[in-house]
Amino acid sequence: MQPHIVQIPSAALTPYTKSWVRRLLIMSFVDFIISGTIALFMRTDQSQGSNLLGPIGSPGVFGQLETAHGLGMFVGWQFPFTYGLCLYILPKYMKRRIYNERLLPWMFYLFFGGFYMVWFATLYGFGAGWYFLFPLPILGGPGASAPWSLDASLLFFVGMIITNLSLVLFVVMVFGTIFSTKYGDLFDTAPRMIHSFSSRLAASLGFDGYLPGSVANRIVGMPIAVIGVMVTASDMIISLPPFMVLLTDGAWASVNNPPFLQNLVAKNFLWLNYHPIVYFAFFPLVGMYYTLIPVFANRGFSSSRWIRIAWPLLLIPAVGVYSHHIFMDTAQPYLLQIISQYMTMTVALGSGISVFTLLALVWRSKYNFNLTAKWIFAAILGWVLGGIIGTELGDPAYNVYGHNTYMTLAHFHYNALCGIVLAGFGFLYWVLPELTNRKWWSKRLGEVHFWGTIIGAFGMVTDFAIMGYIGVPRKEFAPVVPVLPFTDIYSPYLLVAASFAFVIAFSQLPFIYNLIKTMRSPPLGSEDETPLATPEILGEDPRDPFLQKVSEGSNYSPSNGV
Amino acid sequence: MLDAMGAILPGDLGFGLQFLAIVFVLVALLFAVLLGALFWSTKHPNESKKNGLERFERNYVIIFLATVLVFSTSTLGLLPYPYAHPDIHPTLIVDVRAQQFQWCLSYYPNWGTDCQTDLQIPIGSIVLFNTSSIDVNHGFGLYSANGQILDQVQVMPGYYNNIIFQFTTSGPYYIRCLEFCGYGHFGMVTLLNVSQS
Repeated sequence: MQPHIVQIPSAALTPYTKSWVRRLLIMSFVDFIISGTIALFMRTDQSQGSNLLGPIGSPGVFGQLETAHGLGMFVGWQFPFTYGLCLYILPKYMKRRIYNERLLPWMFYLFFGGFYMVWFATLYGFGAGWYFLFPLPILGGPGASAPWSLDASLLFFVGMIITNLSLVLFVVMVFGTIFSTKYGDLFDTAPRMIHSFSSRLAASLGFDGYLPGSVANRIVGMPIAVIGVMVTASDMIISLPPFMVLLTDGAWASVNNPPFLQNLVAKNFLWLNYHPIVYFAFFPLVGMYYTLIPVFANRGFSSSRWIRIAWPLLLIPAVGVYSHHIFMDTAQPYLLQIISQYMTMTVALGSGISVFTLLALVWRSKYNFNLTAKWIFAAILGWVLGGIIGTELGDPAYNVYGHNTYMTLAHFHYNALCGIVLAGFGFLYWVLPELTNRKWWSKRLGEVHFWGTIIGAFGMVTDFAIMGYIGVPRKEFAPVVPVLPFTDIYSPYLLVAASFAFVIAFSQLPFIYNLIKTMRSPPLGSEDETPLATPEILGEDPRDPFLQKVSEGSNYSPSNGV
Repeated sequence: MLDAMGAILPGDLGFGLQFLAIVFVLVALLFAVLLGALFWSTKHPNESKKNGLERFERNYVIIFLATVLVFSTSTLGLLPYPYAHPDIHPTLIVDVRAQQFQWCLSYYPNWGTDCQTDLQIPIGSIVLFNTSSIDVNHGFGLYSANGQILDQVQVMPGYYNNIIFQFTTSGPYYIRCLEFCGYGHFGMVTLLNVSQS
């Protein structure tokens, strides 16, 4: 059966789910704008523009800004965005209602209640950095060198605990939707197929790509976007318990108790969670690449095996690589360092397979370069550039030259800003019409937003990379210090980075205006209707349970009103 | 030039970070060419609904796997951990105590006392830096006079993290904190001198 494109609303994407997904996505981008604005002040400080801004430029405020920016992006933006993304993917592509929709508002309010406590703690003086290495966060009391109070630390840790409780509710909804047998649909009842828990687990994590055909063909295939959701939810929940112990220790020590974790253990618990965090939005977005690129190329993956093989290579190392953050601690067990080095290379391998598979599909296709397709292409470029630096840093022999320099900053800004955020915008442009029943108000403003953002983002991060390769240390209020004569050459690069940061900032203005105008325009249907459903491609994977349910020749609008 | 561990390190050849920069630029350029070819191909589409390059996937994966394995394995002898090189014996031990926001460098065994403001190291010395902190995490970053990072290690309270470095060039060397340790972090620097005597 040839792949074909259909545009059928999913009844499982209920008005209730849509309304919460909409809130999550919009709030996530509100946090993005706030976090980005904070970054402008940091860039200005570092480029020595602080003289112009007066009291904003001080080492103390810089520490608070740095903490608020990093947490704002990785948690404040990424968590609600990923929640929204995943809770859209499940009903849209798996055709199942969210398991226990009543948890949605609980998750929403827990997250934002907790996270705004965290942000408030930074306003209240907390500035231990977004990855708060113990015992710095709790050396804030009177007499210690760090000027924030233990009250601020307590507020921070309690906020983080509440924020991460929302993650538990999210994972309950994801696992429930994928594994529950209450639905009685084709995933539960498809004839001549295996319906055991283990087979569903294998399919949901991509392990069926490694199974022999005789077995794999009897397992109901999971939509590729759902695999991305499952992999990210699994990684996050595996890494959550040690992180919660760490946060509890922080809260405990903030009320004048000695911490119960040793510093090296605390470091391990931190990075065990903080490495998977960087993949939290990334994995489901990669699932969306696999879902949308076939739509834009108007062709399917002729074999489902290659698009699944990469996932287990991403699932296990996503947690296992964490020790590469601790490469420069010689007290860390040698074996962990070596395992982590090879796991980092495994992530590179999984990423390499994915990039090749995705781009190979585009080769000599009539590719539709609509706005979302452009965002995705830019994001794949960011993924590759960040991956090159990540591979270099993932080897301790080279990490010794780049650790905690702008190389590190370039690596995760290529991946996070030029990868995840750009793909996130692409997803928002794609899905907002379906979620709101409104077409985007202006296509032209969307183009201005795209070009301005990628020029600013790639310009700034490439400048970061150059600074990394000349050894500029990161997280410095003033990288240029008079007693280090060689630091004079840093100044022009810091100024260039600040300039590109402002390009990014100004490029968000058309996006904000466009979003407001779109949301204020009259909807094309009621909440119960979905007149702007996004198109999907159905491949020729014989294990796809929905193939026989869909008639050919459905209407197709690849640009979906964008 | 051979380093203290008897192996060639990029830094010893004078192009540590530059070497990585060249690799980055070359791979990025290669990808840019591939991306250009991809755009060209979409202007010359065929009517096939099939993925034309899929037959190369297995070969691609094998080549990529071999590349990352060779890259990773080839550097095992260069790992920057003293315990990975038991045959290397330092000729000088320097104790390093870190605290917010200053360094105390002293000759062994005076950790934390007898701090030297202008520590002298004879050229050619194989130096073991024995580092620890009395408050929070710091980063011991060793810079050459021209701003090149030569070596680094995290400095953690409650643990001794060590590195070995052989000084083959005379002149000033700078130490800068490379881990955010509080609001005065940016000014946490000190100096050591390598001389002929």
